[in-house]
Amino acid sequence: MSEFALEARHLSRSFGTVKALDDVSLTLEAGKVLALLGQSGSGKSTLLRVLAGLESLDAGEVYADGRLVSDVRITVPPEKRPLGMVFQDYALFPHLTALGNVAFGLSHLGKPERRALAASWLARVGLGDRGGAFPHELSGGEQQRVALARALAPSPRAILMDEPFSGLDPHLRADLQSSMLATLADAGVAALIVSHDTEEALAVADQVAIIEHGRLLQSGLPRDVYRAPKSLEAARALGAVWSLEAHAENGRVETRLGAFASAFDGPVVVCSRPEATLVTPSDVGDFAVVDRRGVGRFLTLKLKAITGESAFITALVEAKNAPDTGQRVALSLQSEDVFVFKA
Amino acid sequence: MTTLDPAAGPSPTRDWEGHGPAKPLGVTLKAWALYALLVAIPGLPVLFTLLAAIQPSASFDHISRVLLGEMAFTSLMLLVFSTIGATILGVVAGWFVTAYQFWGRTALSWGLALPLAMPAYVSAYAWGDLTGARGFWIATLVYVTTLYPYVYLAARSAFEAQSVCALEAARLLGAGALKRFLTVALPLARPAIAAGAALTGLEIAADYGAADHLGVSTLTIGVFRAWFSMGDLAAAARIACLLLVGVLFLVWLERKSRAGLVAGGSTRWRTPQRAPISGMSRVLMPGFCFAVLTLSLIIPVQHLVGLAIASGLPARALSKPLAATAFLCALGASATLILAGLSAFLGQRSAKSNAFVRAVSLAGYATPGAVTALGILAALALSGSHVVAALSGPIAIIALCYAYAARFTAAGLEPLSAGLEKSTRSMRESAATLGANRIKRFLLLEAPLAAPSAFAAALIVAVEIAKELPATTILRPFGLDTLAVRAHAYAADERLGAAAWPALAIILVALIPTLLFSHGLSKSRAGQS
Repeated sequence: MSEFALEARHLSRSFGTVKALDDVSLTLEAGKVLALLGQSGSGKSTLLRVLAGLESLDAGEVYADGRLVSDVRITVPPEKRPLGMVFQDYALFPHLTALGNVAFGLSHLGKPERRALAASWLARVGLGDRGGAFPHELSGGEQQRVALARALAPSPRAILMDEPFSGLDPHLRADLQSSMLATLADAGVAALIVSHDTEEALAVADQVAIIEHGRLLQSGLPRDVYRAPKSLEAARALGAVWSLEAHAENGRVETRLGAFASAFDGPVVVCSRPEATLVTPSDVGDFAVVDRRGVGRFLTLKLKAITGESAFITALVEAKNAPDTGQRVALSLQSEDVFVFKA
Repeated sequence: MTTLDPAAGPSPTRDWEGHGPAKPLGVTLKAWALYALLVAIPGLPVLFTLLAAIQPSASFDHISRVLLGEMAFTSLMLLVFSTIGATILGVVAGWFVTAYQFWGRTALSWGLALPLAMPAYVSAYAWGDLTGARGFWIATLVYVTTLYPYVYLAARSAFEAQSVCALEAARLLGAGALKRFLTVALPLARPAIAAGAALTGLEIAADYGAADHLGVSTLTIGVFRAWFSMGDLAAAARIACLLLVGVLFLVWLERKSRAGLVAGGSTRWRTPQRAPISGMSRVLMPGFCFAVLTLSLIIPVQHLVGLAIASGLPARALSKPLAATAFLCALGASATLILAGLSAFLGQRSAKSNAFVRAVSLAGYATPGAVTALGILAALALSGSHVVAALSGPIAIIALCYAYAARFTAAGLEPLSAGLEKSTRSMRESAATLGANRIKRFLLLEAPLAAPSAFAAALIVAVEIAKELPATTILRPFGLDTLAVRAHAYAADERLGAAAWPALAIILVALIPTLLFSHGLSKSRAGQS
C-alpha cells in the first residue's frame, strides 16, 4: 500500500475555452480527510470526477494507491479504481433496498457474505434496522448514510465526496459530520471532500486545499492556511477578511492601523481577519463604528476611517462593552495577523 | 403517441460522455456504424422508391394524364379540410376540459382520447354503411372524428402545462374569457397544436383503408392501384414520390409554425381553478364534448356491434387473423423495440445525438406505410428477384418486420427514452465507482428501472402494428391475414357484418394502451403535485 491513497500531478482539463483544471497537484494521505474548498465553477467537481475516472485529462497524472490510473492517454475506468464516491444527490438506486444498495458493490462475494457484509455496514452507520427500506422511504440524513455505507463497503483506499452535506438541514449536519468522521476513522479510509462551505470543511478536514478558477491556490493544514494564506483569495476561503489598498515602500507599508512589513514594494493589499482586529474606544481614534450586527456573545462591527479611505473594516468583538454606533475607536493589529499581498 | 419535436426528451445535461473526445467510461461501441444503421432502416426504402421511380414505366403516362392531377388534388383537399376540422375539434375540446368545470368533465377528459383506438378504416366501414354514402365528405367526417385525438391530447397537455399566472394576469388586465383563450392560451399552445395537427395530416396522407373503402382516389390509393392492378412498380414509385413531397411539405410546415417561438412563460405555477360555468354553457360544453365522442366512437361502435350480431360470427373470421396478428405483433414489436432501444441508447450520448435519433425515427414515422412497403418491394425487384415469388414465407415476414420497425420506432422511442432517463447520470456513475462495468450497469441498474417503460413501449408498438393496414396488405405472405387485412377484405366484399368482428377486435385491442395511458395523462398537471 502506498502512503498516498491518491496523488494528482499537474492535472489540466479544459472544456472548450474554459480551463476547468490548470496544473493542479495534490496528495491525499492514507487515512486522512482532505477538504477541497472552492466556489461553484472553481473546478473542484471536475477535479473529483477526474480522480474518480469519470472525466479524462488533457495533461498530468493521477495515481491511486501508487498505481497510475489517469494520464493523457489512459483513463482507467471508475469500476477498476480502488475508490468510492458519494454523490451530491447520493444517487441511491431507487429499485433496490438500502441493503441492496450497499450490497451493489460487493458482487465479488457470494450471496450470504454479501448480505452479511452489507448489513454490517448499515449497522456501522446506525441503520441496522433500515435494511429493507427503499430510498424513497428514507429521510435525507438516512439516505446520506446509506450512500456513505455503500461507498465504503467495497473497502476502497479512498472515497470522494461531492458536497455530501449540502442537501441536509443545518441542524443535522453537525451530527452527520461527526458520525461520518468516526466511520471513516474506523474504516481507515482516506476521504476527499468537496465543499463550498468553509465551516464544514474545517469541521471535518485534516488538510485543506483551496481551488479557484481551476488553479490550486494553497493546500496544507487548516491552521497553517488560516494563519498564513498565500493570497487574498486563499485568506477569504478560510474565513472572513477585510482588506485595504495601500502602497509599500522599502519593504514597509503604512496604514491607519499601523506600519507593517511587506514583501513587495508598490501597490499592495493589506488584510486581516475581524477576530484579529482589536478595537479600543477612544475619542481621538481614527475610526468610527458605522454598524453593529449580531446577537449573543460576539458582535460584528463595521468601521470606517474618519477621514480619507472609504474602505470598511470589520471587527469581531465581545458584546459586553462593545462600542455603540457612531462611537470613535482606535484599531490595532498584531503583526502576525496581518497579510500583505501584491495588488 | 409520438411528438414531432426532435428536441424534446432528455435534456442536454445528460451528456453521458462528458465533453471532448475521451470516453472515460469505456464506451467502445462503434457509434457511427449504429447511427448509419438507424438512418438506413427508414432511409433505404425511400432510396429504393426513388431508384424504382426512375425505371421505365409502362402505365405512368396514362396515369399522369388521366388520374394523377385528380389524385393529388383530392389528397390535398382531404388533408386541408380534415386537418382543419380535427384541429378545431381537438383544440376546443381540449380547452373546455382544461379551463372549465362542468358535469362529466373528468370522464369526458379521458374519454375524448379513446377514439385513438378507432382506426379510420373501421370508422369508414361504419359510417359508409350507416349513411349509405361514399366519397369525399364521408371520408372527411371519418378523418376528423378519428384523428382529432392527436390534436386534443397535444392541446390538452399544452393547456394544462400553461401557467395559470399568465391567464390570471390577462384576467386582471381585463381580458374576457374568449380573449384570454385567443390571445394567451392559444398562442402559448401553438407549437403543441401544430405538432398534433401535423400528426393528423401524416395519418391522412398515410391512410389507405378508409380512402379505399369510401372510394376516394388519393395518392396512396394510386400507389396501390399502380402496383396491384397494373403491376407497375415504377409507376407506383413515382406516385409515392409525389406523396413523399407532400409529407415533406407537411413536416416543413410544422417546423415553420414553431419557429421564432419563445419557450416557457412563467416558472411559477399555481393549481389552476377551473371556472364554473353557467347558463347555456352548462349544457353546451358537455354537449359538445359528448357529441364529439358520440360521432367518433359511440355511433360507429354501436353500428358495428349491431352488424356483427345480425350477421353472426363467420367461420375463421377471428381465430386465424387473431393468431396472425399476435404473431406479427410479437415479431414486429420485437424488431421495433430493438431499433428503438438502440436509438434511445444513442440518444443518451448527447443532446445533439438525441435530437438526431428522434429526427430519424420521426422521418420513418412520417413516411407513409405504403411508401415504406413499396420501397422494400423495389429493393427486392432491383436485386433481381421476382417480387411476388420472393414475398412468401420468411422473406415476407422479415420485410414486414422491417417496415414496422421503420415506421413505429418513433412510437417506441419516447417511452424507452423516458425509461432510460430514470437512471440518472449520477446513479450510473455511482454504479461505475462501485465496480459495475458497462454491461452490469445496464443489467442491474438501467434495465430494471426502464422495464415498466419498455413494457409500455412494447404495448404501444404492438397496437400500432395490429392497426396497420397498407404495409401489411402489400408485404404480407399469401394466406397470412391479420385482423386488419381480414376486416378490410370483408368490407371490400360488402360483407360488413363479417368485417365488424375483426374490426371490433382491433378496437378492443387498441383500447388497452389508450385506457392505460390516457388515464395517466389526465392525472398529471403542471403546478399540481
